[in-house]
Amino acid sequence: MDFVKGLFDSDKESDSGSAKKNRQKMNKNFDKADKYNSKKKAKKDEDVTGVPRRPNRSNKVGPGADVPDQSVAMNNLDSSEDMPEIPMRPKSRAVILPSGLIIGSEDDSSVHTSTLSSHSSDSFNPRNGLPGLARIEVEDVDNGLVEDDKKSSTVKRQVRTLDGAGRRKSSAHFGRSVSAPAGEKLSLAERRTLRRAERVGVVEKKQLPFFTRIAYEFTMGIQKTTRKIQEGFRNAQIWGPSIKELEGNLGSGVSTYFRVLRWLLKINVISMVMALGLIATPGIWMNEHHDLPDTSLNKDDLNCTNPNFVEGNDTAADVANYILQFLTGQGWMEGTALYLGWYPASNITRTSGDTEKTTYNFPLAYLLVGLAYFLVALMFILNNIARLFKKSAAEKIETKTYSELILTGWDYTIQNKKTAQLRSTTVIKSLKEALSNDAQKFVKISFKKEIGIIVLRVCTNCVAVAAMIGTVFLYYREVVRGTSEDAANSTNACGEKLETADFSNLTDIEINEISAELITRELARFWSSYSASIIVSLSNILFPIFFEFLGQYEFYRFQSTRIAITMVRSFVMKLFSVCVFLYVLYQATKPSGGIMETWQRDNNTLLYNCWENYIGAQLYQLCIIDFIVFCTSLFFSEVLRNILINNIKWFRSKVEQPEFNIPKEILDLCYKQMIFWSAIFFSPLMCCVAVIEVIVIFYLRKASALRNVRPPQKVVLTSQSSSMVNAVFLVSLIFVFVFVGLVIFQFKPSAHCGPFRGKTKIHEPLGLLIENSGGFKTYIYDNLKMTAVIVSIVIIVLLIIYYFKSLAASRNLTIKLLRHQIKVEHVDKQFLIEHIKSQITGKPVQEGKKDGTVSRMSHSQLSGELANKTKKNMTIHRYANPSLKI
Amino acid sequence: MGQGTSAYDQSELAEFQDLTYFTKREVLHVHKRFAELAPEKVKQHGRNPTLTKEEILLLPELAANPFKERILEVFSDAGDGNMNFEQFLDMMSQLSSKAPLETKIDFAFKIYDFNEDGQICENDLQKVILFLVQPAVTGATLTSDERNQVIKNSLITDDQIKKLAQKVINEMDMDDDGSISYLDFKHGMSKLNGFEESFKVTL
Repeated sequence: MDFVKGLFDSDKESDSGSAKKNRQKMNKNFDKADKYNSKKKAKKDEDVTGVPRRPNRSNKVGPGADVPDQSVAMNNLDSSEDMPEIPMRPKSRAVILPSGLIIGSEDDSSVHTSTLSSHSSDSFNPRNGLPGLARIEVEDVDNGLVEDDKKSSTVKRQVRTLDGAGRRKSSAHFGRSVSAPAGEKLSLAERRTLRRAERVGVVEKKQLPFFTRIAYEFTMGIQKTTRKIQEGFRNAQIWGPSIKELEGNLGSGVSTYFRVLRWLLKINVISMVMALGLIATPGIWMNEHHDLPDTSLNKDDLNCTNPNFVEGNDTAADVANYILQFLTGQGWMEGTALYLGWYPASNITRTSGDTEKTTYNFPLAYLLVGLAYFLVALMFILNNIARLFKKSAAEKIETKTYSELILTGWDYTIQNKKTAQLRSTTVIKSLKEALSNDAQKFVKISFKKEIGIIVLRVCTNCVAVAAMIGTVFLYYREVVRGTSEDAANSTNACGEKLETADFSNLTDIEINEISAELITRELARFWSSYSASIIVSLSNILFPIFFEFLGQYEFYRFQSTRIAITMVRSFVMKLFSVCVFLYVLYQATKPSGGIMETWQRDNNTLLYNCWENYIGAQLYQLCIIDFIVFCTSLFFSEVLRNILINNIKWFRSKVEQPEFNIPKEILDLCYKQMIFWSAIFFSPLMCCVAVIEVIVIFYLRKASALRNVRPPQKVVLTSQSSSMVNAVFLVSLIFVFVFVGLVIFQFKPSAHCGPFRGKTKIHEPLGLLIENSGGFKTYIYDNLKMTAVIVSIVIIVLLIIYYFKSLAASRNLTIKLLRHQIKVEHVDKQFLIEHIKSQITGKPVQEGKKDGTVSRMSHSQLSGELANKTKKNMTIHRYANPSLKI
Repeated sequence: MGQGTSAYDQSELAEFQDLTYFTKREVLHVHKRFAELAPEKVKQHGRNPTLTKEEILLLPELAANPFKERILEVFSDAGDGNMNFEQFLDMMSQLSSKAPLETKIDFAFKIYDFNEDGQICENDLQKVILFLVQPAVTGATLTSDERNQVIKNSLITDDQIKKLAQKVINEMDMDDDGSISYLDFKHGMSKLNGFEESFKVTL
């Protein structure tokens, strides 16, 4: 699928983007130098008129004209030399109309004449926005030949700008073997010759004044270093060959998925570095060296689940215990650095003389890093969105279905013959579909049928919503039951603790019985503590399939609509399930009226000693379970299915090879990332888990995709889908952030664990920091806490978005009008040519001859006549239309 | 030049780096791939031999591409598809992911302008569509032209091809002159989303 093409290919995009910028910058710099030089030389050249000092360099060198180097610069320096003659390149496209009007020339002829004045290279016809449409205004044709050398020099420069129109800015490459519309393109060898010649001309640099030269060297130096850094990054790009291989085998659509994975890896690695460097390392060091008596941890306080995991002498039970605890993230795991509760509340201090100085305020660092994860992720997403916006530049991208399918339909990255064949069939299929869709647009559906379809869709939507709500309810009940069961266990289990049993007096059979009993109990416990995560993960796998199934019976006219609707439903489901998970956690742990709080009030003991660890453990569980479900479903839906298809004939006839469903897979990634984001504050080491998981997913998926999966069958042309993926990630990030923010601003930290113990709210360290700095900042902070302020900020942001949206809408209207104008002007031009022709030949203008059908008369003849007939000033738009060229 | 197959020295590489979109390392990699295509020739003629079209088409990166011959023709000096290393490097540089969008659009225009008149007309577009259909046809195990024709017809009819070509012109033609000029093409392509991603060949 061409879905979300090129979205996450940040490295590549930013590469070419910044390179372009650099070039533009460079050109600017040298335009300045250019001006300076031209002034200087103008004086000299007056003495030596007629003798070209240097073979003319047509104004471009480099890969095409796009030179990532000084050569353009030096070139510009030279080309501003005032020469009386303007040798055009062979076959260059400047057309010369005798007696002054220059539009293009076929041969090496030189231009001596004219009173041309053209707009400079940068002023592309601003009215229609098409680069390269230089405007020529014929001033007073009657002036005819110009003897003045000075004037000829201005002409020369104008011709240069004319010829180079669009080149300096847009640096287009022009054809060679093909009679390219806008000019010629140099081969690499030719460019090299020019470049070497330019190198000789470097001496000229010394003529620049001292400061200009310094500025020049400085900017060059900066550019060189940035280029080197970029190159370094490019070389360090991981998974490049893997992605290329996937691209070659499955097309560029599938590689998008892997690019998203790489993008997530970047985010998670940065988070991991922050977590390890700023939280885990100091935390471990402090727990070993800085345990102040009043803040030291009691291991029991860390337990969030009051575990009644059995600690028998029996090895079987022990191992089972160990593994189960690892999978649930409870028991022994709770006493590790995985969770927030383990981290110290003290600061690293240095005693100098009598005063103690805080060198590392650990709680504050923890809080700030916790917020920084979100900032990093937000920046990554916004960076993507900004790049997309730059591309579309607020202009609504019109859907050019056919052009997109035909002109960009072939994926040049494909290397595999089979994939090529598939791609080709896919494109044809899509083309036919588009044709039939077009035909269907005009087919009217009967009223009755329409009503039927609407009713059907309402029904299916109801079913979808009901299914979602049902799952959520089931899940909510499971969580509540799990929590209360924990509560019940914590009272009962302690009474009859099995580990107190005297194992030495029992027979082997009895021991076996007991361990069997233990294991069943463990399993029951495993289910009770895992049921919620399992329900969520399973629903995540099953619902997209269900929605796809549902979509087939809704009679959507366009496949793309169907896919979009399925995707939106799946996303809502995923968002829903994570939100409900977080909501339940919030309900369970909230300071007043929560499940835990009620329990605490009723029984007068703490249910969980450390609710921070409880949240962390729940999310850890969810993540582990999700990963297990992912692996199993990958195995069954791709590996096993493919094996069966390859080996069993009956199976082959019934079941198709699995297809890579890109939107679904990307949503799945988004869901996983959402879990990481919500867990990261409560268990800093989760980002290590995240990094490992992303890497494992990459290789598993790659292995499976190369062996078992066929490329997507549909070419989905959703131009805005790339922004959709960004939006999906952004929305998930915001939801998670709201949850974490609520916890930070509302919850009272546990009394005996975590870096925030003893404080009234988690955000206190930040508050203290700001209050200590005093003044205005405190004022802002105090007010920011208020809901009203936040709401008003949101409203203002919405208003701004609305403003820009309407601005974009109005611009779109302008664009439409201008497009129309282009067409009208073209008709005008054709009419003018017709008219002139009729004047020449004496025939009347033929009516009804429309654009493109104008008979093409000899243009030299025409232009000569044009100059004679047209006495007044007039404007001709130069289209790069070969029919107008000599 | 031409002293054996040894790699280029630093100053030459720097020059290539300036003249193409490649880094030095990538230039060397491209040369390696180029030399692998015809090791005999490289041995005989030094490091810048001229390879024939057929030899270059051995590249797996191009093998599956229906436009492969057209690409080489457009990019070779003589228009026959034979090229030496420098031309090859130039081509790869412009097809690489680092080449700016406009270079690619330019390249694509030349590829699709089959009759080389500076305009993409309806005939050109019909040809493009036929080329797109090609892999589906020849990808099958059938070889005879007749059978190919049959398959083609079952896939898509001439009538449909004509219709499609017209549709594309309707969409892309800004000045309503019945064919896609270079400016029309450039303007239209820069607005199409998937182009930059799919129009690239990485060695």
